Amino acid sequence: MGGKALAAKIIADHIKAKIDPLGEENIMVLNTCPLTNTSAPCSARFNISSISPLTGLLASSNCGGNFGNNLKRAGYDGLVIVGKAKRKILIEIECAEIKFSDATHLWGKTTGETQELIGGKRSGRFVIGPAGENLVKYAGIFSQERTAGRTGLGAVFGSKNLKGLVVSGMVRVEMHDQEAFKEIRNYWTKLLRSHPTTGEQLPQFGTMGLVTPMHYRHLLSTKNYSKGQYEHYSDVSGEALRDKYLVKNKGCETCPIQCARVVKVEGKDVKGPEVETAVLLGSNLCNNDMQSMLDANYYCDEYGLDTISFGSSIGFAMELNEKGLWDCGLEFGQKIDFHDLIRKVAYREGIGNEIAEGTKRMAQKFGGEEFAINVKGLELAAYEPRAAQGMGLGYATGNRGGCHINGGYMVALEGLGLNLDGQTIKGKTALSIFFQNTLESISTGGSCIFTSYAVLPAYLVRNPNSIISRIACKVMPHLGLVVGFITKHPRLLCVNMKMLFPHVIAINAVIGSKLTIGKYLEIGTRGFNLERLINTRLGLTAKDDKLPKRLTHEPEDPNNKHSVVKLDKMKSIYYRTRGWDQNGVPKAKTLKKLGIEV
Amino acid sequence: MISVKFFGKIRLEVGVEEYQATGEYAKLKTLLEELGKEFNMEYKELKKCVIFIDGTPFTKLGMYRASLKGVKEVAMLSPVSGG
Repeated sequence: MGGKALAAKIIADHIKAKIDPLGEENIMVLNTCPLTNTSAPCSARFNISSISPLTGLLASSNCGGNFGNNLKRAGYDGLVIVGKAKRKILIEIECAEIKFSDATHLWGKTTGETQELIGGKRSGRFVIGPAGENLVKYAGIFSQERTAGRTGLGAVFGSKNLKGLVVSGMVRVEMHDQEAFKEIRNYWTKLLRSHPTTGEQLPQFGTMGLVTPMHYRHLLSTKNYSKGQYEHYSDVSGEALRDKYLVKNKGCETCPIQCARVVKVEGKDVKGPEVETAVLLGSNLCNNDMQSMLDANYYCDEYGLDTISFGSSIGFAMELNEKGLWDCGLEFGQKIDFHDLIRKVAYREGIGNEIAEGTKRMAQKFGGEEFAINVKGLELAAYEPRAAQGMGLGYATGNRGGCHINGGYMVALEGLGLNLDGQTIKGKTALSIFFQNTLESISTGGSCIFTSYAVLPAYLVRNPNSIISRIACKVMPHLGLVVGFITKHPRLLCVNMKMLFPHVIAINAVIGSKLTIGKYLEIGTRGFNLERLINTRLGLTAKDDKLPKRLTHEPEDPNNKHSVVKLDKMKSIYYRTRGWDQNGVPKAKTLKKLGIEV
Repeated sequence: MISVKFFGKIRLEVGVEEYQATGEYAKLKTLLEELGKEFNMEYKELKKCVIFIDGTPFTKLGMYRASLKGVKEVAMLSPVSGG
């Protein structure tokens, strides 16, 4: 259909075995989705896929900003970038015309400076900063202030001598059924505005509104994931941001949620942090100085770094230092000159050169593998998984590594939205698979992942203590067999329900497809399995579906020995339910059923 | 004295970060009733909050019948979903 699943197919056709992600043979797929550049809510999304320099596996990153819409306005559904430029270049696209311009004068510029220097008023831009140029393993790519942050794709741009792309055009998306589209768009917008998450929590507090509930639920990664609560949580919470630092809300084109925050750094109005950033640069470093965290977020964006992997790498460096394994001078709770440190990482100077490699490679050099918080090389997101077993399983099995989105974001059910028991593993494998597939479908269609909250019934979220909600949360883990059956046979859901998946009806109206919820979920299932298949070609085995020992062997709560992720118990059920063999490889009959040709 | 802390949407509704409850409260319900009067809110609205009593979810302590004897902190969080 589009996005990461289509990109995976293109990559599967081109890359058949392990390659050097920073070598000339790597390719990049930048593509849009059916809903991109329509007025569907939260649809200003596009995807970039490649082989990750951080993990060596298939990488994908989904981004907002204005690049995707403009790529489609120029008349392109996607681009495939192959080879390597002999000189530093910028790709300029205006409808049918594609120019490879000299970018020598842009080299060394920050992402903000570069975007100011290129394109016209209405152009879409997608650029790297110094971190990408210097092949920092977790460099991101930036469109306006939004980021394709994870998996280090900025370094792949850098390896190809590509500073960025600028694109413009005037092509409009031709609708199959304009009236049906308008009807579902209006309904969908109202649905998002009336849902407690997308209509209240996210507009009022942004994603940082989660910091406080995460603390109370023991989900707040603290001191390099050694615990799930931070005594100074309120200093770095969404409430504190709103009360003391917020300038205004902001959002992508066509977004009724407006979850982004605008804050002040150096007297300028800049993008505020998301919850991931706030946790990884806040509690994870025992840093309760909100302004320093806002500064760090800004400088990561300007120099072109993923804040999650950067924050986790700093936390790991601090613990290495604390344990005497690496004398890097970084300490938990210490006041840090983030601007200087981020510049050193982006330019690979001094300790920055080590930190630029990410936690997995740092552990290979200095030791401490058991507390190097990554999966398959990708640093984990902000959610401490020992209090959310489903999230732990999701991290371990995500195709791009320790990713909360690709992992199924089970934490929304395990304490943040619904109140499923986070410690039980009952039913978690089937639910994890269902949500991994669902989020894959939503991403593939071109919608922001936040539109998935409509799947969580508003009543259950808004009334967590009602008898109905409590019964639902008690019953849900017991529905593992039913959910597992549905994930194996999604086509049985041969209906459309606009209150659950308005995405499907919108896509049908745009491209004239006849998708049902079942077919839509099957696209996600197919995408997830295809990604897995590519990864197995690149050398992934079941042994790589693991978590750092800290999370599986050290209790988060010293008084509760069960507060570890029971991964081994869940993994075999997960493989079986997925239709994979014991080595984690999709079985031939699973692939055949999904129409995936090997 | 019990320190009642408000987080999320409920904080915007009551208009304060914290309230010092100085009365005698046999059960959580009694405290919530006082908060309703103090902040002119309906009891049923306060019941929508996710509540932690000295860090423990109130669902594990008998919910609205939870004893507040010796309790120092009650945290009231508006429901959220994710980010």
